[in-house]
Amino acid sequence: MALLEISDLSVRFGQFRAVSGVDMTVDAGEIVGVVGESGSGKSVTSLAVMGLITEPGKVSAGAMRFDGRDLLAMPARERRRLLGRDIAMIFQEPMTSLNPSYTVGFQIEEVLAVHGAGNRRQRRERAVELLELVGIPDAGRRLSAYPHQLSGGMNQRVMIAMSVALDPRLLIADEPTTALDVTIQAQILRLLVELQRRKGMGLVFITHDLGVLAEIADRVIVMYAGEVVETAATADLFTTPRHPYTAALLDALPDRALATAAADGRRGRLPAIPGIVPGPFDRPAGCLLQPRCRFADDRCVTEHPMLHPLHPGAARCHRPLGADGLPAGEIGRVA
Amino acid sequence: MTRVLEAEALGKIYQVPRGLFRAPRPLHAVDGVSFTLDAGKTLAIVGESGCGKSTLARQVTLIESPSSGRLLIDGKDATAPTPAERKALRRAVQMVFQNPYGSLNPRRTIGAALAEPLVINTTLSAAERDAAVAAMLSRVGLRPEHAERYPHMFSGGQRQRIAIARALMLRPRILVADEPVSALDVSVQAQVLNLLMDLQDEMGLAMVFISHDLGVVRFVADEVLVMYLGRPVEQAPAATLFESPRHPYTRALLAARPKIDADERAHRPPPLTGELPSPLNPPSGCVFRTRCPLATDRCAAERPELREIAGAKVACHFAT
Repeated sequence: MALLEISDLSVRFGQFRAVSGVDMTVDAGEIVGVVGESGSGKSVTSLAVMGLITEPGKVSAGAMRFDGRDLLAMPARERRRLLGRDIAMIFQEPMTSLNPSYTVGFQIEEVLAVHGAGNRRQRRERAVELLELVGIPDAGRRLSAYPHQLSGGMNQRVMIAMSVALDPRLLIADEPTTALDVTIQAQILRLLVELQRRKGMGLVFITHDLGVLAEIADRVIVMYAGEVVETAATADLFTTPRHPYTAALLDALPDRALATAAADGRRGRLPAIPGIVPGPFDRPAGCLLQPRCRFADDRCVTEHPMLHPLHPGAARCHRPLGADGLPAGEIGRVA
Repeated sequence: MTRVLEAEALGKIYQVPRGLFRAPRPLHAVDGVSFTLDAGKTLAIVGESGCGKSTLARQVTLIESPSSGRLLIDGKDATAPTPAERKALRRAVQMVFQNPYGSLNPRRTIGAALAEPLVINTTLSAAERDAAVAAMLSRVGLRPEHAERYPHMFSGGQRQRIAIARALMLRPRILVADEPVSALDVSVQAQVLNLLMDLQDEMGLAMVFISHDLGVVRFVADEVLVMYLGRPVEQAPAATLFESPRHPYTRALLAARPKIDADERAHRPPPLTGELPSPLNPPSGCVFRTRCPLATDRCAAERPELREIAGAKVACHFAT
């Protein structure tokens, strides 16, 4: 049984569907990467799982189960108790996620106190242990530091310490390294993966950076304009992307483009995806990528594609790409 | 080739106040940076937060004057210009900032934002200004009717196009771009980088491109300057730097980048440990020694100067 199981998740804000029809499973000990650009719905999906979507947002789902328990049918108090204890989350901006007026020690101990873990002395000891666990030197003294006295990387370590304080079984990390310098990002990624392995947690890693997922994820879910457009094992996704959007995203990375540019000697241009991600009120008919897709035809304009299983993986495209990067066969055309 | 920008041992010291009764403490934000830049070429300045790259940008754009060293723009001394000279020099240097949301006034139309440099610096008539704005908008891939709209009506990538258009209204010789694409999505980032390169080729712009993203830098730069805690640690043509990085910090930066290629991931050194030291209290000798895998006693005692090795300049005792 999967640790987290979501089917047909949709989140609406008024008329606008921020997320629509998302299926996702996460097993214990697995790292699932969710990648997408701004407005793809990747953060809203994670907030919906955490139950953090508030009015006027509306969440609906076919199923949303954690460890077999129905998150939607569960009373609010019970669901609230799961958060922080069994499901924890790390956000992008460590500086704004921590309260500037309390010491980091107080904030870590508060997590423990809220969930009724130990007495005051035990909580303090546990806080020291946690700071050591996330690689903060001189942990005993750092407990009395305020967030502004620590660097961004150190604050993110504190956030990670808080999130794993109660040994959660599922950790959702939303762009946890985006605000950090590359050398610090490498340290934090290493730390997260090490903790995830040691504790056998399920980890959902949300990012806009495909490179980061290539490093750590077992499976990747690609989102575009509120929908899942491709899912695949990490290695497959990077060698043979099946959805034109995934392929175009990979091509737009300067690293990949460089090889092509070097070939013709002149400083090249990047193969950019034309146009912009559709906003709330200008979503196109048919396939949402269709106005920006180099392979789109008349069917793409009229018929919204399903997420077709491809064994392995799945792609939301009428004509998924083959190994040569061109549309292979057409799926299910109604003549 | 015309040399448009020349920096000689530029330095910037800030005095950081420490309260009423204590003397302020000096902070060396930039220390001993030299470079030259020709028309049509791109110099990338690379480093992590606190390395001095933005301070350097503020000196090149004449927002601040250097504490030491010499700066030449278009052959004219820009180290300590008179107000009149400064005004003239500023036309030659323009800047694009990281955050396209914060760098446009939300209460003014795009047309007004783009026309303002012309109002201040030229004697063009209103009709001529409107024509120039329309021409520039279409040049950066927007439509002339966008001049009537306000910044909130545009996406991040479009706003960055607007910021670029504004910077180019006065036909500058030098464009300083401070992390111009790091707030943008990958697909949009590629569009904006392409636009910058097109405009550069077309107008013969010299570009100072500040970035922490080595992938982007490799794509756009002719010359790269790597900085750490205000000091230049390696300076080389882009191809040389990426093929054979010589300074341990440059190597660590390259190794720390997330890699898509599995082979590259397999053969890479472990990530740097530790954090950036405080710039108020930098390590003695080599500033990088506290995080350097090669550091010895000599590094603590003796500051390495930039020396030339096979076309690159490297500030390391052990670089070969």
